[in-house]
Amino acid sequence: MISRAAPLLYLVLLTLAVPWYWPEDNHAIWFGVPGWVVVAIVVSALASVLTAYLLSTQWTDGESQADE
Amino acid sequence: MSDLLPLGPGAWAFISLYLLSLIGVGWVAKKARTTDTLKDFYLAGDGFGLTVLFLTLFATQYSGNTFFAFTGATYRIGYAWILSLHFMTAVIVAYLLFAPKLHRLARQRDYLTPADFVQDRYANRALSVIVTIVMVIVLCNFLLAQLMAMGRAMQGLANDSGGTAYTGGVIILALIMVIYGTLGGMRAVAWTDALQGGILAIGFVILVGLLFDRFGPLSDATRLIVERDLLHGTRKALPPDAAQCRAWLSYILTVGFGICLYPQAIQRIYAARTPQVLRRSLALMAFMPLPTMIISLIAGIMALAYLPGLEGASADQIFGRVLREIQNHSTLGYGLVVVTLSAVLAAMMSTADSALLSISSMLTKDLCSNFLMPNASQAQLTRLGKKFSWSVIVVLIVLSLLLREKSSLVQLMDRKLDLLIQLVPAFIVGIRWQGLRGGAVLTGLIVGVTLALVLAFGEFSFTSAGKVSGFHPGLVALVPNLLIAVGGSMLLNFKSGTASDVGVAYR
Repeated sequence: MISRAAPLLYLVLLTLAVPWYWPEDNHAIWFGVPGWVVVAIVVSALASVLTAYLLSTQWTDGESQADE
Repeated sequence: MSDLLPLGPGAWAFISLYLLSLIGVGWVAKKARTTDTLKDFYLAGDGFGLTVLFLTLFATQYSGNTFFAFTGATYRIGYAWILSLHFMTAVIVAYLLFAPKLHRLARQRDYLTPADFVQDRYANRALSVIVTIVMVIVLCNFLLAQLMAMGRAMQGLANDSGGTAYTGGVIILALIMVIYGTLGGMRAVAWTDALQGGILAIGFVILVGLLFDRFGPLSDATRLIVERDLLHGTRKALPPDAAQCRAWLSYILTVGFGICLYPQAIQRIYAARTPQVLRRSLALMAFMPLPTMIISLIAGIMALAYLPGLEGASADQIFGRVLREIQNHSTLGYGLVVVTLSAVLAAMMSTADSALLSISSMLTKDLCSNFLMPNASQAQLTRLGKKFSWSVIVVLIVLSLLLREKSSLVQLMDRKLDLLIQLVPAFIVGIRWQGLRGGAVLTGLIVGVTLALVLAFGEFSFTSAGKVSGFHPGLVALVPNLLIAVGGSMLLNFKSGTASDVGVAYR
């Protein structure tokens, strides 16, 4: 399920990763750093989790079972 | 690093012993060799387990110079350099697209170099040769830049603005590197990578603790930068504007797809002992951008807030200023800086030696073994590979000494990722779509490489600093490259009804 949705999930994460949607004069500070930086770190962490999940559970090469 | 405090004899003795111990690692790796074959020399025989593969992948993706350059970039542009977190993560996402299948094919069909896959996949000798040439050019440029960085690092360590430390640094470090590289091949390179990666990781974790101890919490630094933004109209803590957002997107795609196609990265995929080892190593690598990039970001932000004043290219020296603050702060700080500098020097060497080994393997296997010496034995080819390593390093040492005062020229020549992403169709699309045809890929590659270089070096009204509306020239050139490769293949398949030039592995 997640494997099939992966391209869409990555596209959503890429869209959120680039902070085009933040007002250019936003000064919000969250946890000691600018708010948009917190969002960038969270999005990157989500991309890492998704990638590690796919690598750990979905070997995208269809013939993986034969290798193991 | 010219801002460092002078190092004492003890510190120099430590750095020298550490660097010389790498030759010891090379000697042990030589003893571990089981057969005198190219596969044993260039891919470590049966390959690596989880720890070594993970650390060598880490050292391949993050060079010692990364910390200097990335801290400098944060200092220059502020929080917007958090984009480095995204493009380093994108590298692992890009691996996900082709590494699993490439690893299986490599183990089944004994691939040694990237061109082995290309020849097996497309059965097109011209395409294989062009791919090899592009990769060798990219790596020679990369290696030259690393050698020059090593010389400049030694210059900074010795506080010598003249050429003696630079010349000595380039020659001595390159010699140590080529000695352990030719002694133990891929094993020596990967084991030294593992050693350096481990020390560097520990050093930087302690470093970030000392940064907070010296400068206080990050929130104070952020507030200071925001206040300066409001006062001077700068954007060091504010969200990126539209032009910067385009640059972000370009960096994410170009670096993500470029770094995963480094020949030495592809050869590390080949060298994974099992699919599980590869997948676990990459899964761990997926999390590495978070600590590494955040640490260099914190160092850059602290420097931006508390050590302002460096502008332009000199901002790259800021990491040296940060280290000096830590040296001054405590005895622990002084010791840590010595260990960190040793590891950074060695990490530069490990990045360079991976490139050197890869160049040597491609010259030996793809050009000599396939064309000039088809009947040579494995032992003869291995000896030839070592001679190539020595020859290439001698030529590049001479070039790095001649170009000492022209580092900006070398940076200008450095279009490695713009060229490497032109290989996306050949490797990533080709491994996922059986219909891709060698002739179409070759045409697309030639068009892509030519266009990337023309856009990068030409003077056009629509380019600025070699970029098109903020996008890397390589990324722009990849569009026609992909269209030709995919469109041409569809047309050929439509005409012939079958992908007749698909290589042996795909029939």
